[in-house]
Amino acid sequence: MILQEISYFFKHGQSEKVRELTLRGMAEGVMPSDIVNVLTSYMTELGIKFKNNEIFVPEVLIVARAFNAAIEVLEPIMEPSKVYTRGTVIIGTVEGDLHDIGKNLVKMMLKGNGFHVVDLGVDVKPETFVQAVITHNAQVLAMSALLTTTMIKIKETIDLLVKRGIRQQVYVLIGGAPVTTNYAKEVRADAYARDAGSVSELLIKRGFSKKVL
Amino acid sequence: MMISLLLTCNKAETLDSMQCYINSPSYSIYESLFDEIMEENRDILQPFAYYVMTENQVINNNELYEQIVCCAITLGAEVDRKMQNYFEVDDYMKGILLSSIADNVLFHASKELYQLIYNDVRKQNMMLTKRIEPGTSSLPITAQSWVLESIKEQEAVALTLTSGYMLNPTKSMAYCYGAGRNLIYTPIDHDCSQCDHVHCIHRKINVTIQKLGEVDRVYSVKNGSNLLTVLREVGEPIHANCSGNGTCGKCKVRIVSPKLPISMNERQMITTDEIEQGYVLACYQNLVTNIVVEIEEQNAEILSDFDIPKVKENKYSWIRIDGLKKRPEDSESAVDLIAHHLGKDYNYSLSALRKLSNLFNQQPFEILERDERHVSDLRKESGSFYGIGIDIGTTTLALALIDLEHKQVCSVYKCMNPQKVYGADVISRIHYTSNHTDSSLRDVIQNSVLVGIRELLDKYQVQADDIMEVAVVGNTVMQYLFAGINPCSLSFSPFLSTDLGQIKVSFIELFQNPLLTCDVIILPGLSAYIGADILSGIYATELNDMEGNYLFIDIGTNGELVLKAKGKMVSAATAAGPAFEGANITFGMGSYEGAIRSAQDYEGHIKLNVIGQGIAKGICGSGLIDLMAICLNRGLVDETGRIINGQSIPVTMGNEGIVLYQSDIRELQLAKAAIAAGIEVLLLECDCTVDELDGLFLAGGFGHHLNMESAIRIGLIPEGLKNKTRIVGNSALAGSVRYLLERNAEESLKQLAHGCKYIELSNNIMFYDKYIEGMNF
Repeated sequence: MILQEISYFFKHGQSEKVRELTLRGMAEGVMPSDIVNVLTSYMTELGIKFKNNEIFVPEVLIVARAFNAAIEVLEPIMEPSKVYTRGTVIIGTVEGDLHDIGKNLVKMMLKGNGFHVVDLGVDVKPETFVQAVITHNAQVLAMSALLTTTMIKIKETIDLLVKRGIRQQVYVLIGGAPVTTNYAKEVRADAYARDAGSVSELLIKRGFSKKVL
Repeated sequence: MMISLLLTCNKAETLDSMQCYINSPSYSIYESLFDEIMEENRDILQPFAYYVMTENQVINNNELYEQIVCCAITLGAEVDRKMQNYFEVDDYMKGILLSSIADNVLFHASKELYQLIYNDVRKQNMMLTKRIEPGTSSLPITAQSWVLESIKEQEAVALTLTSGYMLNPTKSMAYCYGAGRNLIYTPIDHDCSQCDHVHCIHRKINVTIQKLGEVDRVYSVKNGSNLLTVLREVGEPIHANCSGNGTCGKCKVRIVSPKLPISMNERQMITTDEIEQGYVLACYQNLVTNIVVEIEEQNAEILSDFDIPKVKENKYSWIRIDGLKKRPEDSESAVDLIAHHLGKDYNYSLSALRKLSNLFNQQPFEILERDERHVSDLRKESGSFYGIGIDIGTTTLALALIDLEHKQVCSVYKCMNPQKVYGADVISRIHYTSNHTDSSLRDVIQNSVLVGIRELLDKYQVQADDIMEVAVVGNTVMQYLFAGINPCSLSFSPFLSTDLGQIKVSFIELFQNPLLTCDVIILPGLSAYIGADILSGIYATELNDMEGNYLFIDIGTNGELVLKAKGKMVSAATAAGPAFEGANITFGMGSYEGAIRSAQDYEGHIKLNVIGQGIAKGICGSGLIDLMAICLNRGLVDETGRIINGQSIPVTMGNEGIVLYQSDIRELQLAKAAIAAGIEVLLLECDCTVDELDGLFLAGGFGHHLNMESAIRIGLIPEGLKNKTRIVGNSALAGSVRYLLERNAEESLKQLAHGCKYIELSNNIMFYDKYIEGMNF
């Protein structure tokens, strides 16, 4: 069974094999969504293992490479809305902050779990975040700040959401070294995520479930 | 001035910092990705630095800082762009790896910059503080802009700050040092303990090592590092008899500061006084704070004396050839011509062929032939040539430079086996090897041998070219570790060895070092536990060629026995345990300064002979046997080994004096019974009795100081051998020397191994009967 083979090599991070098998699967008429399901369900599992310290970041990264190898094959065939069925997330590092490793990890976990992610990059102004939420009709806004000196921009962005009257439409998730649960409460964010592994789990728990294809 | 620094990146450090651990199944993928990225991005990882000296404007209340040195290092904007590219195509692994590589490059570059600044500041008669980083210590992050502006006043730096005080490009650092004439010396550049990021993956702690008469040395190690591991890695000669298992209590070191918490287990192995003074067991301490540790140098007595063995026929001889006459009409090569001339074919070493090719026709020359088959060297005039014999003991290492022409010992180099920090005995070292994938044990021993060879060559002014051969002996485990052969299967039944034959390998291949160009011969052994050291010892003493019945004993961790009697030769290894090497004995120690080497009952009071004549710190094997004999003679211990009164016998006075415990006596009983039983089994095998023995050869360092009367009193050696014993010193080394000198040594050793029967004692019923019988005194 080709799905089992994909699953096996996927779990071992063998991206070339996964790419090859995905292509073969397509040729043999396997449903692309079935392949996506195999991949995303393992990515979810991986996120939990990572959160529980059972595995380390690089192991997730190796699997993510294999994930991308498969998606590169599938994306031209499938509509994005069928690959990423859980909803749209706007992500970025706040203004004045250039750290992007943590943010990128979160992005990777979210994509792996079937979210559509719009990455605004680093040094993102509050206005840019808010505009992106509106333009993409996003369900989630994820912001990262790595310095105590840039953390205040999280609050500014949320305040701007309130001012525009769209705070209720979007779930605000924040993270980064100086950020805490208390800080999240203080600035009226919806949640604080401790690490990349807990982000997807947190969102899925909050009802961002897979749409039936 | 812009300074271009070295591009240094440590692969292991980098991978470790991003949690790519060596035991991960994907480690090889990580490694190949690392190599790929380094290759691809070498051009954009080049670190540049700037530093300027300026007046102190930011650090309050510090009049000691006459100047502030502001520093900036950057890899430039290209790395950021490249990382961005990786992330954009969703290759997170490469993006993060490149980021970690850049961090590591910055880290190494900053260390290099420190040296430059330090030298510069010293020239101006000033000292330097530790690194002061804005945002991580008393200096607020806002000072970052002052540091950067100070540099920009004098230099054109392409660095900016974001509104959040972050440097752009991101792979940059900005920090400063205080400099002043009245500052005290600090051997530390970066000190993580000043930083608030306690969970930082890069967090390091500083271990300062103090030694009498030496400048303090500081090592930055990973937070949480084990002290024993650190001391091993920096090459400190610490004892770790149990290989860090937490059971032997020998890796005791004094922590000068701070006071470290002590575990319950440590309390059982160090005295209250010692705890008070700051002693800890290195293997129990995982470091989470900067420490200063004191290392006491120990001088060991290493046995390297041996007599140059008698040689029957020389291995080497010079043959003079009065020039080669080649006629144009025949097609013979120079080698053919020599063969013609001498009526015999020879094998040539490459170096001999090279020299031959440089000779002119008709010019007379000399060839150095070996074993009548090989040509080892070729010269215009005959001259001196040399060989090196090496004995790799579990505890000590000895190298002898031999003048092969005059059959003389030129010089001897000896040192402790540096592997001792990985365990005192072969089993604990095998244990380390099976738990670690690194090649530490091979590396440290090979390095020591290289150091030894260099010293011998320098001391005696011998050219590397004039060394014909290097012969190495050791027990099987030592030889395997030296050669990089996995010794694990030697440690459990059925004690499977990989190879016991002679191994001949080029020096360069073995050491990955071109110090010498000759071959290294690792001499053959007999079994997993009767190694080349014993076979070599027999070869040196010529036991096999002697008339009569002889016993050969080498007492160390294993007591190896060889009996040549009634036309047979048999051998056995008894697992005597390391009691005679000082392990498993509460106050036991090796033959180091401070060890009680011997004891005499002299008209009612005990006279101790301590190595180095100082205060007694412990007891080594020969001292232990003397003390035991005294206890028996005085009736303090009965014949079953029980202490008559109480649980211990004081050896030296005072609260913290040396004591012999009941458990120590039990250890000794086990050890001596094993050897005594081994001797009996061998005698029975040859149908021989003690009375029929003509002599006993006692080999090894232990035999050297052994008092025969005491050994007989405690039942280690049969009575009746008292006046028939010959101390043969380091016979293993002597055997390697005979190998270098004697014709057809290779064949002789092969035959010797062939003619000696090995008796496995671990499943020998008779051995167990004798073992139990031999337990009493």
